[in-house]
Amino acid sequence: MFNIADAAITVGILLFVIAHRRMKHAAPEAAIDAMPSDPATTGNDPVSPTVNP
Amino acid sequence: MKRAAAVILLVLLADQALKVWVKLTFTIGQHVPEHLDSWYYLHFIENEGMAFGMKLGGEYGKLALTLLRIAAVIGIGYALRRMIAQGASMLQVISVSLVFAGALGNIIDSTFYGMVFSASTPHDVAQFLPADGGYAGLFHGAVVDMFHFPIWRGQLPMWLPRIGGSYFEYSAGRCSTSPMRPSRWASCSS
Repeated sequence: MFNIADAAITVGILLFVIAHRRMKHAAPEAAIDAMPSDPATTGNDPVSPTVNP
Repeated sequence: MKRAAAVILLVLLADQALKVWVKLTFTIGQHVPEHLDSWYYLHFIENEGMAFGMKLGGEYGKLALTLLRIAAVIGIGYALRRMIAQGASMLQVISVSLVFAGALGNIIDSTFYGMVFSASTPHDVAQFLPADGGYAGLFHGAVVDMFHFPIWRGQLPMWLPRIGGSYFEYSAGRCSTSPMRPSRWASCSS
Protein backbone atom coordinates (compact mmCIF):
# COMPACT_ATOMS: atom_id res chain seq x y z
CA MET A 1 0.00 0.00 0.00
CA PHE A 2 1.10 3.56 -0.59
CA ASN A 3 -0.20 7.11 -0.74
CA ILE A 4 0.31 10.28 -2.80
CA ALA A 5 3.35 11.26 -0.69
CA ASP A 6 5.05 7.90 -1.39
CA ALA A 7 4.25 8.25 -5.10
CA ALA A 8 5.72 11.78 -5.14
CA ILE A 9 8.94 10.53 -3.52
CA THR A 10 9.25 7.71 -6.07
CA VAL A 11 8.57 9.98 -9.07
CA GLY A 12 10.95 12.61 -7.62
CA ILE A 13 13.80 10.10 -7.30
CA LEU A 14 13.22 8.84 -10.87
CA LEU A 15 13.18 12.39 -12.26
CA PHE A 16 16.34 13.23 -10.31
CA VAL A 17 18.14 10.24 -11.84
CA ILE A 18 16.98 11.31 -15.33
CA ALA A 19 18.12 14.91 -14.71
CA HIS A 20 21.50 13.70 -13.40
CA ARG A 21 22.05 11.49 -16.47
CA ARG A 22 21.09 14.34 -18.79
CA MET A 23 23.57 16.61 -17.04
CA LYS A 24 26.34 14.01 -17.36
CA HIS A 25 25.66 13.65 -21.09
CA ALA A 26 25.49 17.41 -21.59
CA ALA A 27 28.80 18.09 -19.80
CA PRO A 28 31.19 16.46 -22.37
CA GLU A 29 29.32 18.11 -25.27
CA ALA A 30 29.64 21.50 -23.61
CA ALA A 31 33.36 20.87 -23.08
CA ILE A 32 33.79 20.01 -26.78
CA ASP A 33 31.92 23.17 -27.80
CA ALA A 34 34.13 25.25 -25.50
CA MET A 35 37.39 23.91 -27.03
CA PRO A 36 39.31 26.38 -29.31
CA SER A 37 38.82 25.68 -33.01
CA ASP A 38 41.67 24.08 -34.97
CA PRO A 39 43.15 26.65 -37.41
CA ALA A 40 44.35 23.88 -39.78
CA THR A 41 40.78 22.74 -40.39
CA THR A 42 38.87 25.98 -40.08
CA GLY A 43 41.41 28.34 -41.60
CA ASN A 44 40.23 31.34 -39.66
CA ASP A 45 43.04 31.80 -37.15
CA PRO A 46 43.59 35.58 -36.88
CA VAL A 47 47.24 35.23 -35.84
CA SER A 48 48.36 32.60 -38.31
CA PRO A 49 52.19 32.62 -38.89
CA THR A 50 51.64 32.08 -42.62
CA VAL A 51 50.19 35.56 -42.95
CA ASN A 52 52.93 38.12 -43.65
CA PRO A 53 52.16 41.60 -42.35
CA MET B 1 11.75 29.13 -6.31
CA LYS B 2 8.10 29.81 -7.22
CA ARG B 3 7.80 26.58 -9.24
CA ALA B 4 9.33 24.55 -6.41
CA ALA B 5 6.87 26.11 -3.93
CA ALA B 6 3.96 25.41 -6.30
CA VAL B 7 4.96 21.73 -6.69
CA ILE B 8 5.35 21.30 -2.94
CA LEU B 9 2.02 22.99 -2.17
CA LEU B 10 0.14 21.00 -4.83
CA VAL B 11 1.48 17.62 -3.65
CA LEU B 12 0.85 18.46 0.01
CA LEU B 13 -2.73 19.61 -0.62
CA ALA B 14 -3.63 16.55 -2.72
CA ASP B 15 -1.94 14.17 -0.25
CA GLN B 16 -3.53 15.61 2.88
CA ALA B 17 -6.98 16.02 1.31
CA LEU B 18 -7.08 12.35 0.27
CA LYS B 19 -5.68 11.12 3.60
CA VAL B 20 -8.17 13.12 5.68
CA TRP B 21 -11.06 11.98 3.47
CA VAL B 22 -10.01 8.32 3.75
CA LYS B 23 -9.42 8.60 7.50
CA LEU B 24 -12.87 10.14 8.10
CA THR B 25 -14.76 7.89 5.66
CA PHE B 26 -13.20 4.39 5.75
CA THR B 27 -12.91 1.83 8.52
CA ILE B 28 -9.58 -0.01 8.79
CA GLY B 29 -9.34 -2.58 6.03
CA GLN B 30 -12.31 -1.20 4.07
CA HIS B 31 -11.76 -1.09 0.33
CA VAL B 32 -13.38 0.43 -2.75
CA PRO B 33 -14.50 -1.10 -5.10
CA GLU B 34 -16.10 -3.90 -3.10
CA HIS B 35 -15.60 -6.69 -5.67
CA LEU B 36 -12.29 -8.54 -5.51
CA ASP B 37 -11.20 -8.70 -9.15
CA SER B 38 -10.42 -5.02 -9.71
CA TRP B 39 -6.96 -3.98 -10.90
CA TYR B 40 -6.90 -1.20 -8.28
CA TYR B 41 -8.34 -0.48 -4.86
CA LEU B 42 -8.59 2.31 -2.39
CA HIS B 43 -7.84 0.19 0.66
CA PHE B 44 -7.38 1.95 3.98
CA ILE B 45 -4.56 0.77 6.22
CA GLU B 46 -2.36 2.62 8.73
CA ASN B 47 1.39 2.23 8.42
CA GLU B 48 3.33 2.66 11.64
CA GLY B 49 6.70 2.00 10.11
CA MET B 50 8.78 2.96 7.12
CA ALA B 51 8.53 1.93 3.48
CA PHE B 52 8.11 -1.83 2.86
CA GLY B 53 6.45 -2.14 6.28
CA MET B 54 9.77 -2.01 8.16
CA LYS B 55 9.48 -0.96 11.80
CA LEU B 56 11.71 0.31 14.58
CA GLY B 57 10.69 -1.40 17.81
CA GLY B 58 8.58 0.10 20.58
CA GLU B 59 7.37 3.57 21.45
CA TYR B 60 10.86 5.08 21.26
CA GLY B 61 11.39 3.42 17.89
CA LYS B 62 8.36 5.26 16.53
CA LEU B 63 9.58 8.54 18.01
CA ALA B 64 13.07 7.98 16.58
CA LEU B 65 11.60 7.23 13.15
CA THR B 66 9.55 10.45 13.14
CA LEU B 67 12.54 12.54 14.29
CA LEU B 68 14.70 10.85 11.63
CA ARG B 69 12.12 11.81 8.99
CA ILE B 70 12.10 15.42 10.20
CA ALA B 71 15.92 15.56 10.07
CA ALA B 72 15.85 14.12 6.53
CA VAL B 73 13.30 16.71 5.39
CA ILE B 74 15.40 19.55 6.85
CA GLY B 75 18.41 18.20 4.92
CA ILE B 76 16.42 17.87 1.67
CA GLY B 77 15.02 21.40 2.12
CA TYR B 78 18.52 22.81 2.63
CA ALA B 79 19.80 20.98 -0.46
CA LEU B 80 16.84 22.24 -2.51
CA ARG B 81 17.49 25.84 -1.50
CA ARG B 82 21.15 25.51 -2.39
CA MET B 83 20.33 23.93 -5.75
CA ILE B 84 17.99 26.81 -6.63
CA ALA B 85 20.63 29.38 -5.55
CA GLN B 86 23.25 27.66 -7.74
CA GLY B 87 20.96 27.71 -10.79
CA ALA B 88 20.13 24.01 -11.06
CA SER B 89 17.97 22.85 -13.99
CA MET B 90 14.18 22.96 -13.73
CA LEU B 91 13.98 19.14 -13.84
CA GLN B 92 16.37 18.84 -10.91
CA VAL B 93 14.47 21.42 -8.86
CA ILE B 94 11.10 19.77 -9.54
CA SER B 95 12.44 16.29 -8.74
CA VAL B 96 13.85 17.34 -5.36
CA SER B 97 10.68 19.37 -4.66
CA LEU B 98 8.62 16.19 -5.18
CA VAL B 99 10.81 14.23 -2.75
CA PHE B 100 10.62 17.08 -0.21
CA ALA B 101 6.82 17.33 -0.50
CA GLY B 102 6.35 13.56 -0.20
CA ALA B 103 8.55 13.31 2.88
CA LEU B 104 6.80 16.30 4.47
CA GLY B 105 3.37 14.79 3.70
CA ASN B 106 4.22 11.61 5.63
CA ILE B 107 5.73 13.64 8.49
CA ILE B 108 2.43 15.52 8.94
CA ASP B 109 0.67 12.16 9.50
CA SER B 110 3.18 10.74 11.94
CA THR B 111 3.51 14.02 13.86
CA PHE B 112 -0.09 15.25 14.18
CA TYR B 113 -2.63 12.59 13.16
CA GLY B 114 -2.36 10.78 16.50
CA MET B 115 -3.42 13.96 18.27
CA VAL B 116 -6.24 15.15 16.00
CA PHE B 117 -7.99 11.87 15.06
CA SER B 118 -9.55 9.09 17.12
CA ALA B 119 -8.47 5.51 16.36
CA SER B 120 -9.75 3.86 13.20
CA THR B 121 -10.95 0.29 13.78
CA PRO B 122 -12.48 -2.39 11.53
CA HIS B 123 -15.91 -1.26 12.83
CA ASP B 124 -15.56 2.49 13.53
CA VAL B 125 -14.59 5.42 11.36
CA ALA B 126 -12.21 7.93 13.00
CA GLN B 127 -13.44 11.28 14.30
CA PHE B 128 -11.70 14.61 13.87
CA LEU B 129 -10.78 16.27 17.19
CA PRO B 130 -12.55 13.72 19.43
CA ALA B 131 -13.65 14.89 22.90
CA ASP B 132 -11.47 12.35 24.74
CA GLY B 133 -8.32 13.11 22.76
CA GLY B 134 -6.56 11.47 19.84
CA TYR B 135 -5.31 7.89 19.53
CA ALA B 136 -1.63 8.75 20.14
CA GLY B 137 0.66 11.56 21.24
CA LEU B 138 2.78 13.99 19.27
CA PHE B 139 5.22 12.22 16.87
CA HIS B 140 3.41 8.87 17.41
CA GLY B 141 0.76 8.91 14.68
CA ALA B 142 0.48 6.36 11.87
CA VAL B 143 0.80 7.17 8.16
CA VAL B 144 -2.43 6.71 6.17
CA ASP B 145 -2.01 4.47 3.10
CA MET B 146 -4.75 3.75 0.60
CA PHE B 147 -3.52 2.88 -2.92
CA HIS B 148 -3.43 -0.80 -3.76
CA PHE B 149 -2.55 -2.08 -7.24
CA PRO B 150 -2.34 -5.88 -7.44
CA ILE B 151 0.33 -6.82 -10.00
CA TRP B 152 -0.15 -10.60 -9.78
CA ARG B 153 -2.49 -12.79 -7.82
CA GLY B 154 -3.43 -16.40 -7.83
CA GLN B 155 -3.18 -19.74 -6.08
CA LEU B 156 0.34 -20.87 -5.11
CA PRO B 157 1.34 -24.39 -6.26
CA MET B 158 0.65 -27.12 -3.71
CA TRP B 159 4.26 -28.40 -3.76
CA LEU B 160 5.52 -25.23 -2.05
CA PRO B 161 6.30 -25.91 1.62
CA ARG B 162 4.04 -24.21 4.19
CA ILE B 163 2.40 -21.67 1.84
CA GLY B 164 1.44 -24.09 -0.96
CA GLY B 165 -2.21 -23.80 -2.02
CA SER B 166 -2.70 -20.39 -0.43
CA TYR B 167 -3.91 -17.28 -2.22
CA PHE B 168 -0.98 -15.01 -3.11
CA GLU B 169 -1.03 -11.39 -4.12
CA TYR B 170 1.96 -9.35 -5.31
CA SER B 171 1.22 -5.62 -5.41
CA ALA B 172 2.85 -2.21 -5.51
CA GLY B 173 3.16 -0.97 -1.94
CA ARG B 174 4.31 -3.03 1.01
CA CYS B 175 4.05 -6.45 2.61
CA SER B 176 0.80 -6.62 4.52
CA THR B 177 -1.97 -8.93 5.57
CA SER B 178 -5.06 -8.73 3.41
CA PRO B 179 -8.60 -9.05 4.77
CA MET B 180 -9.92 -9.34 1.23
CA ARG B 181 -9.75 -13.12 1.06
CA PRO B 182 -11.35 -15.26 3.75
CA SER B 183 -9.22 -18.34 3.12
CA ARG B 184 -5.51 -18.94 3.64
CA TRP B 185 -3.38 -16.36 1.91
CA ALA B 186 0.12 -15.01 1.52
CA SER B 187 0.84 -11.48 0.39
CA CYS B 188 3.92 -9.49 -0.47
CA SER B 189 4.50 -6.22 -2.26
CA SER B 190 7.29 -4.31 -3.95
